[in-house]
Amino acid sequence: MASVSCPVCEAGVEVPDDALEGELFECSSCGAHLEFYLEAGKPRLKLAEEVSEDWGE
Amino acid sequence: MDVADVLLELLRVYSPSGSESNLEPVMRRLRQELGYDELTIDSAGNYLFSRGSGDRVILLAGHVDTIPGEIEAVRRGDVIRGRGAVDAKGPFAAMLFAGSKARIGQGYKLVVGGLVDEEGEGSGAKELLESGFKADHIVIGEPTGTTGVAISYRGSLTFTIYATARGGHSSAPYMGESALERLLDAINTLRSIFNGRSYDEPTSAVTMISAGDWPTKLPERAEAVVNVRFPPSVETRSVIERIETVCSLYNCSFSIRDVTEPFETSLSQPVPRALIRAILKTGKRPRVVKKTGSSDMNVLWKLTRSIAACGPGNSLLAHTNEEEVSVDDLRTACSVYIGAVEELQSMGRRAT
Repeated sequence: MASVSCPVCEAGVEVPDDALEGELFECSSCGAHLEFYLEAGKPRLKLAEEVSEDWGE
Repeated sequence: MDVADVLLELLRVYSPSGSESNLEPVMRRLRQELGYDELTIDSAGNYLFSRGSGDRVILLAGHVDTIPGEIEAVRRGDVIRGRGAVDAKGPFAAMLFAGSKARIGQGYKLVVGGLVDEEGEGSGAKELLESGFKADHIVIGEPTGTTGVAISYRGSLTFTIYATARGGHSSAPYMGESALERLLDAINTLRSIFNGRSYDEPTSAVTMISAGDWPTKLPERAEAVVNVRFPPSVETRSVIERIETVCSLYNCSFSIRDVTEPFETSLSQPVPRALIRAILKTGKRPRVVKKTGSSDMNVLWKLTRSIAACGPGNSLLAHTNEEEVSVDDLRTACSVYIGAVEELQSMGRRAT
């Protein structure tokens, strides 16, 4: 488990070792939805696409 | 038999809410052909298919009732049409097919639920809750375009508002008193309060109205049904308080017909994570979505917060006469459900 910095509030977000690129996580500190990616082999998080609205029940 | 055959079998039986028992012969045949260990039908009429006998339960919960209005079930090339193809026999067919293929390890039990009355009062999900059914993880089968993972549903409050007045002659309305006009004033005020244009704002819709019994008589009684939808950030109590204030202002009364609490889960929960990983493994990009309506998720989260909705089909076609789903979408959904069920078991093993 790696602790990766939240790009919004800089709190540490726990990312499991088996995380897939494109996987989405939630920062437990600020609630931001974050997308996991690798940069030069290092785990990183960026702000995920905004949550979309879907009609229906 | 593939997932398209399963869906066509389900669509050929017309099963609006209240008539789900029409599906029993098909369900019994599907249990046998897909190789489920058991099919039980509970007191509400829910169809519960199961594999495995472990203590940890993964529930794939779809619904098998539809809104009324039959549409002939047909397959044209890659597209399957029929009432419920989108909402929600398509997702349920994919769950049933996927559930028969997923690896179920020791200690786990997979239940695929074809719940009843989701389009009505939700009595199928309520019965599951009240019967003491236990589940560690729940995937709800609702259309999200397969790559959408719904983590949030709005709440719903439906009420009837009543107005009474002494009436009068329509030739001199300024001398009389119309219950209908009082009701319309109250409704207009309610609409100005619950006037949202997006998921995050409370919305309202007047769905039924009745008043008057003579063309030249001011109505003495009037009533209307109003449905308010609200996000998890708004408390049900505050919605009711605002309705009370408006009714008191216009000397109207109201009675609540149905309340469904809003619900939102977290991406950190195992089911959203398992679905997102399973979608990525099909080579597609997952989307997190929030639903403006409500579903069995608004009830079943009381069993576990490890819950999310995902399924094939374009939700804009739900409840229309154009309900159709592509076989390609159904097959992708099967891969997602199989992947998610297996991910959940792997996560459980890693956690112990």
